[in-house]
Amino acid sequence: MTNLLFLRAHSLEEWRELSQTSHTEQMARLLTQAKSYDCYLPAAEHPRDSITYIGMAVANMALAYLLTEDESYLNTMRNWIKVGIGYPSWGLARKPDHDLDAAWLLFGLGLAYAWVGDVMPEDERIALRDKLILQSIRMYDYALATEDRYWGSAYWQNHNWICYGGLAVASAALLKEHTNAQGWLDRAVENFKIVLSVFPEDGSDYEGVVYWRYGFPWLLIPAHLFQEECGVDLHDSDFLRRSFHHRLHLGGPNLVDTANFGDCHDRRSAHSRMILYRLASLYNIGEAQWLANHFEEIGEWEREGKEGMVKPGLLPEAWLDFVWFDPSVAPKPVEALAKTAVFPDMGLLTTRSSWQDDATYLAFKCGTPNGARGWQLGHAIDRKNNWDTIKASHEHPDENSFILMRGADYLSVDPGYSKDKLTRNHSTILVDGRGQYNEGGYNAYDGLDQAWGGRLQNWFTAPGLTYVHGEAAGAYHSDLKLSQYRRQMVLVGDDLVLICDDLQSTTSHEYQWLLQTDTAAEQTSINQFTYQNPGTQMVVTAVAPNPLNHDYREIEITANPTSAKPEWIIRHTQHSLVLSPVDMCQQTRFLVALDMADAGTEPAEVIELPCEGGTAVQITRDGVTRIAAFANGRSRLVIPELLSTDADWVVANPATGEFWAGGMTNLWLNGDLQAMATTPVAIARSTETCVIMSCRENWISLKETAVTLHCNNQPIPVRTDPILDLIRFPIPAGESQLTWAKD
Amino acid sequence: MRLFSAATIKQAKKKSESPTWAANWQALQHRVEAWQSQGAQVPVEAGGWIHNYVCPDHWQPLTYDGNLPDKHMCPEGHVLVGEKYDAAWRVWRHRQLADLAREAGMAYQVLGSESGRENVCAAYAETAVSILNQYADFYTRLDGRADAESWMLTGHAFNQALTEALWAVPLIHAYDLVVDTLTTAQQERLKRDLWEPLTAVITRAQDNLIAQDKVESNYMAWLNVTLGCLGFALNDTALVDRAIEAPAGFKPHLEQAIWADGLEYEATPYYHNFVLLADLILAEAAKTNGIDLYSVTDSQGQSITSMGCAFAQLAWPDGSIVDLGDGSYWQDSIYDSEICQAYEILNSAAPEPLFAAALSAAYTRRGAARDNWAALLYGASVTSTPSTSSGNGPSTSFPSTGSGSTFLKESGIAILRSEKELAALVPFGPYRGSHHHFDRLSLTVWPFSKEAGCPLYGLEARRAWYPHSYAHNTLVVDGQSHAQCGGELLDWTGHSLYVTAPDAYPGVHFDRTTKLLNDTIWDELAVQSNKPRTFDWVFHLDGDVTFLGELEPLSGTLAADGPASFITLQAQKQIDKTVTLDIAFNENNYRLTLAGERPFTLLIGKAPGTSRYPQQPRLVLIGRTIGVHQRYRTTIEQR
Repeated sequence: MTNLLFLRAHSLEEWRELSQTSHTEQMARLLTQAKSYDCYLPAAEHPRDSITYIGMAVANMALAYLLTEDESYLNTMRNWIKVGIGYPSWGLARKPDHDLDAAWLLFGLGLAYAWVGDVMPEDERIALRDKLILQSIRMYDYALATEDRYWGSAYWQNHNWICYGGLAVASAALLKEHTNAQGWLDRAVENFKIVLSVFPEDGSDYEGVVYWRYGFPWLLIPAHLFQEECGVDLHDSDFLRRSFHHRLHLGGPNLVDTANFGDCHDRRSAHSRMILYRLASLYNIGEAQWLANHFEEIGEWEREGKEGMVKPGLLPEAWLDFVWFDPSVAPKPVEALAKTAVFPDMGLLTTRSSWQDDATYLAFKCGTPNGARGWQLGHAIDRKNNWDTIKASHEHPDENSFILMRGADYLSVDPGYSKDKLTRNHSTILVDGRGQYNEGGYNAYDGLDQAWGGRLQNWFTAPGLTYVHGEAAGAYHSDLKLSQYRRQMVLVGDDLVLICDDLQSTTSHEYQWLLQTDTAAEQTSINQFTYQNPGTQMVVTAVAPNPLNHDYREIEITANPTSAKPEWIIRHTQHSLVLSPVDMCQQTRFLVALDMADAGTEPAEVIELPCEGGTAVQITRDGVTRIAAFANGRSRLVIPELLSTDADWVVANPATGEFWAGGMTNLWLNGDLQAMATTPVAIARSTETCVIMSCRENWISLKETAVTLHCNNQPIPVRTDPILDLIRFPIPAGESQLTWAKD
Repeated sequence: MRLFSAATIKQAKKKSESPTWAANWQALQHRVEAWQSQGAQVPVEAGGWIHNYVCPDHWQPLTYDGNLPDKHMCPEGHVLVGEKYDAAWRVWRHRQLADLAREAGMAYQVLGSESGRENVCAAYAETAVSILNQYADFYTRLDGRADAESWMLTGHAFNQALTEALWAVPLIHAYDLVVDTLTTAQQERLKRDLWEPLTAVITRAQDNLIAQDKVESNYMAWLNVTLGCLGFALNDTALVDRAIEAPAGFKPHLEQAIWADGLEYEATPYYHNFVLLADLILAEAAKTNGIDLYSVTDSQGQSITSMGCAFAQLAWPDGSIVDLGDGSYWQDSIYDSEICQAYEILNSAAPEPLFAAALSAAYTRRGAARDNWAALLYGASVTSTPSTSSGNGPSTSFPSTGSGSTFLKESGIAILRSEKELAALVPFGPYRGSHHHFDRLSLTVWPFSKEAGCPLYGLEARRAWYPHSYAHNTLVVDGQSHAQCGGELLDWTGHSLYVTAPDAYPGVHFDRTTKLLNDTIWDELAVQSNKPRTFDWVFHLDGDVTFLGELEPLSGTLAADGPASFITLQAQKQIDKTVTLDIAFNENNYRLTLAGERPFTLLIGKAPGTSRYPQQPRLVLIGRTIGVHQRYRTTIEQR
């Protein structure tokens, strides 16, 4: 009797009909993929390489047969199964029978057993059944024996999901065949209940986009299985619901290139059609459906199928494409989505100037290993049980680092997959040559207590500007006595990034400011460095410290992405610009401007302005002058004759009166009081609009003559103060979008 | 033990044997042994409301005597009787006994280890156990809610759950210190009859606050520390989570109750320290169990350390803390004792000269030795600190605080300090709820024109006089206190403040500029109205005041009712341009000059004393202008 695991949504006849109607493209890909296995067989002896692909191959052929009853698929599948079950162990180089290879084969061969076992010759069916039972026992026993370590309780790591996922599918296939199968399945259910309860609500995942693409399906697969086979619905999860947005916002301007934080094999192998289909279907996310179609149109799926570095890879996912595609979800372009997104748990902010291919894109990261929730819960679980659940080995010691892209140009880069996790390979800070956490090895976080970590402190976004602030002193060893590493970054328009770093310690250090790039810099003045990229000229101007030392480094990044294939080494070269104060010091400030312009055009002029209480710069491009200033601690910023404010930071265009500021209760520009707030707010004021972010209900005063004011599209009362020449009005907590009509 | 680490006890033992600390430990020992010799019993009735322990005639706290449950002495010499006072007395009594139980437990752990003292040691533990057992005998039968006021978050052993928490924490400490002397059956009995019912009371109170959307409440800090101590002591991780994590534990409370400048949202120093003390006790218990709350920094930089800094910066040059808003600002209140406890713990966990200074000043004010529980367990050794019970604090060894300027932007507090004996305070922050005073943009001048303060809450004048604008050196328009509002900052330079209060009085613009230059306060209060009004510039004075020029006698009160009725007029003077007066205060001489942009009337009267000295009426100056605008300019200098 066919056991239609994953196919309960329709009868087999309906699936066959869908394959000829709404799912024809998916069906065509499935059959092409299934047919591709005709021409070769896995080696009779277990290769040194990974064998995970056998699982997906068998599943594709099994479903192809199920839908077509074409015996050629069945026959080829039987040959593949014979090879697979002929291996004494599943997996060779890494944890035979107890890790990913075994899990993928339990999954694929388990499905084949469920779907077509009853049409296999009896001896082959029994052989397959017995092998599945044997491997399930091995996997289950290992999970029990290692619950306190490795993947048994590594709830935040893909090995846990894949191994328990594979076991779950095999268990579901064997429910009527082995008395212990229900117990295996129950354990997997309980595991995934915990997994989805410990993930953050913002949908973020610290393992990086490539591992997300590899591991995340293994949350969707068991959730699908359990819903249909156990009546357990794990889909009501904000983490799952918001995962698409997390992943989308880690896409660069062309959506194909990625912000490759963490262990990413390359900058592109992060796309999976089946995930987009599934999330679109589960949560009616039109943008996910649109992205899947968009990638089809621009040839990304074809490219990923050929070049993708994650195995088994995109093409073998054909059967899940078929099952998870939901034609009822209307595609919705991403243009209407916010251009800035924040994922506090991971400490991630991404922003882009537009959703077009030529946009400027910034991704900033400052968080804790394993994500904030995972770091806290992991330690709590470990303390309670004396376990070792936190396996953040794909995370990098990269707090307060950033990735910057403009169009197709990567202007500030991440090393991606690295054998040795080193802070020096990221655009952040070294202290006495030392980086963050226990950098240097494969896992930089082993044995660290809960107090370690950075934090995304504050952010603000409004038309024309995005501001973000991270604090990362807690990511450095306490013997450095670093009390502050505050990084403030501002993306102004689409052509300027300002970085203000404040470092403070009770002992003297050499602080090194790092910028990682694909290309080498050319020094163009004493504090200026120019990078020529294919489409973008980036000029880096170090305003502070003054004077400073600089250095260049060329780094080779190497990694072995899978221990199942030890000889596979990926490598690339990266360039570092290193800036530092000329002397050791306890505290210092770096203020660096990154000006971006089309290749071959004039860069902006960046000069320091005299400023009390902080550091200020003036940026002039094409006759337009902007000023920006960052306060020293809680000092008042005063640029004589121009600006006076208690804001923590400010950007302004004195000619137009536009300004953006954070932590402000009052701001004077060109000698006039422009704005006042009862308690500090972030504010963006242009001639047409005003955006205010306030932690609490507040009163705002603005230099404006409007009498009809709308806050978030609702009219609000306005008073005037004739003495201060301001209008005054209340705003609620949160973001207020103000628009007005003048008399 | 789960609340105190072995290292803490070891350090305490070492201290008890040192010449510096031995006398302080002896003081504790004497208190415990005195109780043992009395053989007194725990009162079996619930406690009431401690704020009722005040003389309605003299506005002073009654003098607590543990032996007089039904006779209550006013410091002015008369006796008050009645259930209201008895119930308030029982609050003191229950809290005293809880503290004593903790001290007995400390004596058991620290002083009982010497060979040959086993019997003494056992007696210390028995004292603590006896108190615990007595409470277990009747706790469930108490009904503190019966006579609670309707606004109270009710408790079980007291009117208020907050009081219950304050009482419970030392009791849980005591249990933890002596738990190794208890059989399993005894532990189970205490758990069943005391800790579990107590847990139910405190969790219900916490849930009520959550339901009322009052996670930021100062009560929450004490509910959290109680739940945390119960959780650690009973090995109940769910209670520990409740105490620390969302929705209302330490972390979310820190996020919501503490502002970016480090001060508790109510912007009253008393309640700030009150919360800080609770957080510190919880942090120490957590630290013992491997959880570091000291390193928790919330989204705007709030942390235990930032809280400690914010409070310590609110000192006048003599180390006393400004008496803003409501709080226990009366003579011999528990405030300084709570400061000592908090800063003993904080200065031990995160030593800072600023913390040491706050600690030193508090001991000096109290005239007390470092013999409180926090000092004895956590207090850092300071070699030059007098440690006898002679009343000397550790002031000589700590740096001083209260120099330069303090500016807390979010809380809206600026303090300008001169190199001389002169300083100014201007509160301008937003309205902060029930503990707020109508004192926005007031100019408080140390040392001779300090804040009005706040008496015990059971006193009628606490509402009728002290919070009102006439009790503060601010502007009063048409005889009314200003609206429930805050002020706003226009400019701050480090020695100059420019603030306004747009919502203080409808139709009135009101701003204040205060500078401290060359050891002189320069103050300008500008007011402009859309129609004629009565503007009263108010300034209270202590010390001896001499007016230059003739005064016209005046009598009666400033108004027939309301806050102005507390002011008795004595004289007046028409001022064309300027009036000058000399002030002698504590052997220093000051000159105050007040000028108006247009003529005004100077009214001179007497107002109630500060809450610390309510029986010492203060001179009050009222610069009255009737019109649509005025600009009062004041200079104050030390001569």
